[in-house]
Amino acid sequence: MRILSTWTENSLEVFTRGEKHNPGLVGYMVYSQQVASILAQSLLLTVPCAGQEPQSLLSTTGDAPFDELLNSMKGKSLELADSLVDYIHSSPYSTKMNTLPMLAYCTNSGPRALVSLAVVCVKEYDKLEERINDREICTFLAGLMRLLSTLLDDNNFYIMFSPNKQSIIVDIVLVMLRSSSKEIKSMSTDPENFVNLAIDACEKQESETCKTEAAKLLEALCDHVDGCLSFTSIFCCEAIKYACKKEPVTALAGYPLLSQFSNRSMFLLRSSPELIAETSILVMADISYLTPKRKDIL
Amino acid sequence: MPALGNAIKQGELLPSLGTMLILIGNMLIAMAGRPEYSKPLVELQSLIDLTVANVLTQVSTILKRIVETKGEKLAADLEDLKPKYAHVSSYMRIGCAY
Repeated sequence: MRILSTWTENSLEVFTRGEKHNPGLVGYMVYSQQVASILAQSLLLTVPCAGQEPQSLLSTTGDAPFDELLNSMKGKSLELADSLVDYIHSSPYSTKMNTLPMLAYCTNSGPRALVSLAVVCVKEYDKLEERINDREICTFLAGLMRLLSTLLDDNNFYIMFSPNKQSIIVDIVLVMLRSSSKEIKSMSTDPENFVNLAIDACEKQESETCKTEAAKLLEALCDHVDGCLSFTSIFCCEAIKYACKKEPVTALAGYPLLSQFSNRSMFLLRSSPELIAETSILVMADISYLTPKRKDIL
Repeated sequence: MPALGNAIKQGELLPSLGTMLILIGNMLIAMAGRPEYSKPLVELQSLIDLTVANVLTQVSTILKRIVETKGEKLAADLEDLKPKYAHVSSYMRIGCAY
């Protein structure tokens, strides 16, 4: 694991330096079957045991040092993969994406990343907050969301997102954007930090937290996938109305969109009205750059 | 999992491979910004990638075997892997010599 971890760290550094000064070396990495294969295999590496959710890429064997090492290595491998895919998209290589080994990596890893995030946010919801507070796990989950945001820039992967767009927004993005109990506590003890976190998620987007990566994923979805902006806006407006009335979750029948998710959305079922309202307003602020272009949403 | 950790430690081959990887990796990083060394760097990087791909395959094999045998044959499996690691190490030596 340490060898793999060292390889990802070194390769990322080599790529970063090569990107500026050594196009030959970067060209090798872009075309390398070995690099794409190592990245794909290392991301899929899990130990099937009692504690490990079979569909999840997050290592949860229960052996803390092992899990930490494996999740840390995966976080770094995601960073390298994201840098490579991002570079391909913004360079002349983009026209050759269909022939590059990284396409196979993206085709295999993208759906697994989506399923993993769904498992973490829905099936293993009770452990979510504890996991987000863990630095290695948070880096890994943020890496999965960053990879999805990068793939959204490529039309090859539209079909991966389009059929699942509503579930991705409700089950993953909204849950990840919601403030944790630690953040809520900081609202009264350290309000400046609380506001800075929200500003970073919506505007600066400099920190590599799950919240910021979820905001970027939402923006990428709204930018590239038809229907995401309308769905998100209507869902959040209904959620704010519902939260302000402080009605029980059983009274969702009066809200056409929310009622479709009333029995399965952790965001609606497990959040206080205040949190639902706060998150929905944060989402509206995040996508506010798009709304002036859409009079139907205004 | 602790059994796996101990077994790998006793194997004594992975740590030396890791050390070599760090040394060559550091050299690569230092020279990555120099386009005049592009060709040898690409060859060196591809050797490292080949080595790591081999290690990864072996790690996957070990993990799969642990599940299949519930850890009972782990020591024997690692013994079987030693010649393969030696083969992998030779790539690294070629890299160092380069």
